[in-house]
Amino acid sequence: MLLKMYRYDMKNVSIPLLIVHGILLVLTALEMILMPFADAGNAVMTVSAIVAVLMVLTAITAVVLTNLLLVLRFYRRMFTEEGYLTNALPMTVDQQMLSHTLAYLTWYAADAVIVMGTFLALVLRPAYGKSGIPSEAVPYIAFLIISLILGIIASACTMSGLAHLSSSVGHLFPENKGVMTFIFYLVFGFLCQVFFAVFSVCLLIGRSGAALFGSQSLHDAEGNLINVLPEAVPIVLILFVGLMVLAAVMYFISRSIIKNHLNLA
Amino acid sequence: MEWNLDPSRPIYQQIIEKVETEIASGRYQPGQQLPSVRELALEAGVNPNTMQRALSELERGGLVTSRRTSGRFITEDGNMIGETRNAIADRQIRIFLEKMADLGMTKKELLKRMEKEAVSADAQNAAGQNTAVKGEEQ
Amino acid sequence: MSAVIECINISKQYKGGCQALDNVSLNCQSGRIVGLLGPNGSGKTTLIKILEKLLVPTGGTFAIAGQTDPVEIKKIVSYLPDCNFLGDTLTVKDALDYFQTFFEDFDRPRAEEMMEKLGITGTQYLKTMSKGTKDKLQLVLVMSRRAKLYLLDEPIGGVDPATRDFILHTIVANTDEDSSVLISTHLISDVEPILDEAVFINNGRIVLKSTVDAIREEHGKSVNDYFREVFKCY
Repeated sequence: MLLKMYRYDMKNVSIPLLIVHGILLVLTALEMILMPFADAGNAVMTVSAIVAVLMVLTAITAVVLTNLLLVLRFYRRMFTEEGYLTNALPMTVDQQMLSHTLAYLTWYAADAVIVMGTFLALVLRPAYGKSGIPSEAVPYIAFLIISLILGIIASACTMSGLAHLSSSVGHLFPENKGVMTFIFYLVFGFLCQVFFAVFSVCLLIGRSGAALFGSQSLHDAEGNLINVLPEAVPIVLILFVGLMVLAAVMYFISRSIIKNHLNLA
Repeated sequence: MEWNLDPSRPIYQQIIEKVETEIASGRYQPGQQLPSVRELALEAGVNPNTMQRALSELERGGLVTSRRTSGRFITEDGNMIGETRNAIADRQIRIFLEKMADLGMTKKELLKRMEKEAVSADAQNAAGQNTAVKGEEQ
Repeated sequence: MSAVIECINISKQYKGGCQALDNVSLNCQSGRIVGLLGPNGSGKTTLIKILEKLLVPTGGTFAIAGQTDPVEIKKIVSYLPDCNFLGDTLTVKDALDYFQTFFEDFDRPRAEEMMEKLGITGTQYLKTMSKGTKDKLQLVLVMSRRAKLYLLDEPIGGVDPATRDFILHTIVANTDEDSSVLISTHLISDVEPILDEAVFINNGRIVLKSTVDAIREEHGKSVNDYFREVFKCY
């Protein structure tokens, strides 16, 4: 059941998102071809600049559209007239919510990877000539990749929790469901950011992170990179757990509203 | 067949009357198989349980018999059919007589008027047949 | 013959204080077509939503064919709401696929046969259909499930007489001794030929529960006329 609804959630949002992300990839490829020839003349430089601007606009559209379509999908299928059918399906509330969270995670990750990937590809282009990755950078790169993955998971879960919570609280106002959902999205979104900011600051202070960002450089007396990993890894892990707890709290409140206070007008 | 059911009277009774009339008039032949309860219910636009109840009553009365695997059949008992026909006619006659009594018609007046109407009705039927025949000839 | 619906003292009070249902107890045997008849705002839709587990009562309990778990109930109850529950971007085929995916008891051949009779093709977009056709489509989808209980909320409101006949015909054609139908409506004269039982509801309370023939025999009038007598406002 969960996977069946996941398929339908994905089908519902995928076409516009594939188009937008496809355009972004095409623009990126174009820019990658044009960039080395930017010195060749004004015409090439102008086109390259235009493409760069389009890339940025498309990237912003992609990110906004990804989140917008997924939030709308949940709101529509659960709390509008379609909700009469969705909620009559022989599925538990958990299956209803988790299938959407999974779809959110899928596209959030795809979007993040594509948007970051396209810009990294352009930024790192000059570095392609080099002989490869220096061995001492490997743990850092591994750490970065793992942090990225954890970050995507945690923010996708938080964002989908935000979608669930704002729409389930919003629907409790049958006269103005849509408007209230939007308002609650902004309010809860803001609260989540405040939580994240406060949590991170406390964490960094608590872990004597001040030392990391102080006047010391990243190199010790012999010019070797100080291994910051032992400090950074726990910070990342705790941030991850903190966000997941936030996502879980939003999940359980939404679930309780849908299970016990469903009010389809 | 037009069922014309009146919602102010129990429907199953009206169905019984309807089927009795069909049998008595010969439109349902003796020994003929009836459609299934569901088909009849759909035809009449009524609840299958209602149709079932009517058919069960008819079975009890003997006009309809049921063979477990093949369904329901009209009785082949000519006497019973004849009696049913008479009973229906008597019912209608009683109603008619009540209405005429309400008008203050005496029996003599009534019989005379009935003769007159019957003759006139026969003439109209004959004329109708003649024009039909003439029409064919032309 | 077993009980398909067993409600005991169902109450629903909304936060504003509105008592939509007040200690409603209802018992419905299998193989029956029951009319839930009452004026607008009498609590009919509220009761049906509670039975479909779309709404949580503030008091009382109920079971559908002995089941109380929401998922199990939804497996055996087929619900037709009084609104357009299919997304507008779907085609008819999409709707059929959706029902087939999520409802194990969906009888697709039966649904397709009915659609052919209605002249609805699989590639049609729901956007392009008239209200009457969409209503027929929704009814066909709901009645093509082999459910134990069909909950129909105002199935014939706002449609033309021919469509109404089709809907009533479909209801009778798709029920059997193992299933029951609960039809909530205020269009009583149209629906009474197919009813077994009538439940009159007013102001959240059950006023009467009887077989339709008993009403006709006892009161010498149709259910519609008796309803008018019971609910006279002047």
